[in-house]
Amino acid sequence: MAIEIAALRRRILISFVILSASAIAGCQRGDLDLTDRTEEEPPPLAANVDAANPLVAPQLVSGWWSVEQNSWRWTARKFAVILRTPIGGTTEGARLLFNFTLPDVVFTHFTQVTLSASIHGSPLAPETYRRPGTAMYMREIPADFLSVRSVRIDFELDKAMPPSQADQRELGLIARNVSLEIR
Amino acid sequence: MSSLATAQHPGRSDAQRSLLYAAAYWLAPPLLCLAIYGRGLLAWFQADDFAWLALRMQVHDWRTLIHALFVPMAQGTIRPFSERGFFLVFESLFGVHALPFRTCVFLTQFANLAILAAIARRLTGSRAAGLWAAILWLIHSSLALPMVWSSAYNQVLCGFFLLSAFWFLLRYVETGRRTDCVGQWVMFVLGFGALEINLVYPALAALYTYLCARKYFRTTWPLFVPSVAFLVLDRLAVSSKHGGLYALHWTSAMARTFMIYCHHAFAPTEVAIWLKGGPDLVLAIALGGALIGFAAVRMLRGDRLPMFCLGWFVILLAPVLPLRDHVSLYYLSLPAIGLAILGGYALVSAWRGASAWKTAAIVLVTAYMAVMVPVDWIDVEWWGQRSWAVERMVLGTVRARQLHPKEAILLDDVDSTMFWSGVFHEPFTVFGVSNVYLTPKSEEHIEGRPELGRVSDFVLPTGPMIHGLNHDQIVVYRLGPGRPKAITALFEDTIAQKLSPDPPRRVDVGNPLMAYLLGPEWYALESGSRWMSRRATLRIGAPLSPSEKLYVSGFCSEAQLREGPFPVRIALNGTPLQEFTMHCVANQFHAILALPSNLDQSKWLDLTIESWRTFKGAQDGRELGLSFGTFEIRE
Repeated sequence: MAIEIAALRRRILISFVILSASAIAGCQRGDLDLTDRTEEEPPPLAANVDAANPLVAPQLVSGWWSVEQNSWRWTARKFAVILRTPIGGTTEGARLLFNFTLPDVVFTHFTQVTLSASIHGSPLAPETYRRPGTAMYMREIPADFLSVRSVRIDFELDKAMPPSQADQRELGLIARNVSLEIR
Repeated sequence: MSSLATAQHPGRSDAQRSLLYAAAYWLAPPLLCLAIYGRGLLAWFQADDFAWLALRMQVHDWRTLIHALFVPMAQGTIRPFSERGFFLVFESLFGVHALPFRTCVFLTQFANLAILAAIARRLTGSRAAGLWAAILWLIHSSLALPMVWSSAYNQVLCGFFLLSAFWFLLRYVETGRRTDCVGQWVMFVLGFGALEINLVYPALAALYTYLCARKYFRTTWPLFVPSVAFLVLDRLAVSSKHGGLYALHWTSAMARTFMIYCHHAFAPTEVAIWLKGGPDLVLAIALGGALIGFAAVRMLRGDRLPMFCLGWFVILLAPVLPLRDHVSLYYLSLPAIGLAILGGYALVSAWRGASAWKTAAIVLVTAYMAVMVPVDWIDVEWWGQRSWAVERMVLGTVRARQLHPKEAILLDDVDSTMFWSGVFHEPFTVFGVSNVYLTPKSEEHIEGRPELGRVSDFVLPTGPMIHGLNHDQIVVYRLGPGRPKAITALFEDTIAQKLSPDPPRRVDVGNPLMAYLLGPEWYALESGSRWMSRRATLRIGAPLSPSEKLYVSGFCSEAQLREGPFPVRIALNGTPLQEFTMHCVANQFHAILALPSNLDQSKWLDLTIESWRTFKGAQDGRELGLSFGTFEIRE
């Protein structure tokens, strides 16, 4: 009888061990499956748009060619972008900053290039560029223009390289980054 | 057929019945344990668990493994088996799946219940008393926390070693075999790896042998040697200047603490708040009085076992009595074993007595169960729900990092429970996720616990937050009853619009979101800090009152101070502050500087730092002056 009870104890012990082993067998090391661990929102509009960033590409609404070398895009003569109004911009106003490059090839066609912009149809002062290289277009935007969640900014060059046999695209400038920043 | 078989083999029928009883006897406590604490098997990690889970990241070789296992940590504890080794091994085998951890806790507790039943049976000579002792201990509400929180495994594992050592002692007393004595020693010594309370085992062994097996009393004396040695080493390793909750108060307050524990042992009003204001006292007096009365009667008849059971309670409780400000129900889990053995003994004795005693026993045990079992369920459910909320938050944040590898993550609507059981313990680092903050003003709706830490250290100030949102460096997630919800756009359009973009009054130069406040002289970020060369500048929020001071902290090396301490100058808006000398303690330096009273009434200050000594970086030849962590203006 004592032997049988000892055997019973062993069986109980073994049962617990087997049950436990099977319970934890599904818990192998490895990457956790975290799909559906968050509830995501549609990508929010950005106030700062890198021309090469695919996540903000929907904000480049017209006049933008494909990303090149993972860092920039050619634009057409006219192009437009939608930017989110920066936090604080509705009261303090903001600064429009557009970083771009005018390559040598542009100045083989033209002696100077003028860039103008408008925000919701209201024109901003144009600026003329006479040398190749990196450049910036910067304008102060009054708070009145920024009372809405996002703004459309239309850029326009006075001239652009027309389509050619070598490149079927109309080429304006090489855009890198455009943003609205609080002052 | 079966009746015939039974008629032909009456002995076999008895054997089957005995086996059935034996199966019920050994299976009943574990099954009851699963019925009461089963939800605890599914609990996730919380609070201190994350410190132990993060330990694995510190282990790279044998030296770091030894360090991780044995160097005293929180309150000077070591506990290599029940905490560090437990988490290191299970995390190495199973990752951050909680089920294997919980399974181990439950299996250990099943073993405890079996050993306790065996001990009580040997002590009382009654199988029923053994079973009841296991059941009465099992349902005691002090066990709820260890059965749902992996960091409290130390109680369960220490119980295993204590019970095993004592079981071997009983066998040794019974057989006189040296192997049983060795078994006792092995389990006793191993117990030091589970919990410091193990050191009272020699007192238990001595008390038992003195009362019930005097012949073996002297054999217990050597057991005190490891305990004294452990106590000396432990005290040497731990700073005696422990403050806060874990401060030891060797005063008359210990008597008060003892009475509180006696009360909680029978009326756990921490959870059973419905008992407060009278019923708790009635219950405590009835149950406690019944046990003491039974013990007194037995002792008058020359039975010393009840005195040992009460002694078990007192001896196991003694080490926590100086913790005047940290009375916790789960500290009763090991002392309650003594009461459970006494209870089982009393129940069976009453059952053999007159019907009045039977009735009294039924009433008392029913009252005990009616209080303890609901408290267990409530406690396990509360802790379980808390762990699952932490799981949703932590794994949701890890998922957010997968989706947004470059952005900082801001958590909104973090409440007190979620903060102190989750965020405060930096659970995200276990998953390699950094740059997680709380939204500004979170500290306003999180209960402060200054003895533990500052909520504000986890909050991203409004200035860097607005800058980060405007530069798409931040995503915001709101916590709630379900999954964390991305609310970046909503947050930008609503809450963020009302916040100030002014620079913060605490600038962490190691935080990439505050890089816009730094001048061009600073070098790139390196592991949460930045080097400057001889001179650097930064912008910081202005003081709110003239009495505030500038607190500066940074990192230093022996190489910098080889030629002795050197002066550092800081100026605010061009006004120099008192020069301070760089002293390096444990690779860090700190300075507190008074602010000038004639500062401009601007919203921010431009701060200039100058180091009087620089050296060339060994690898890149950069001119290195100082490596800073934080600048803060506060009282």
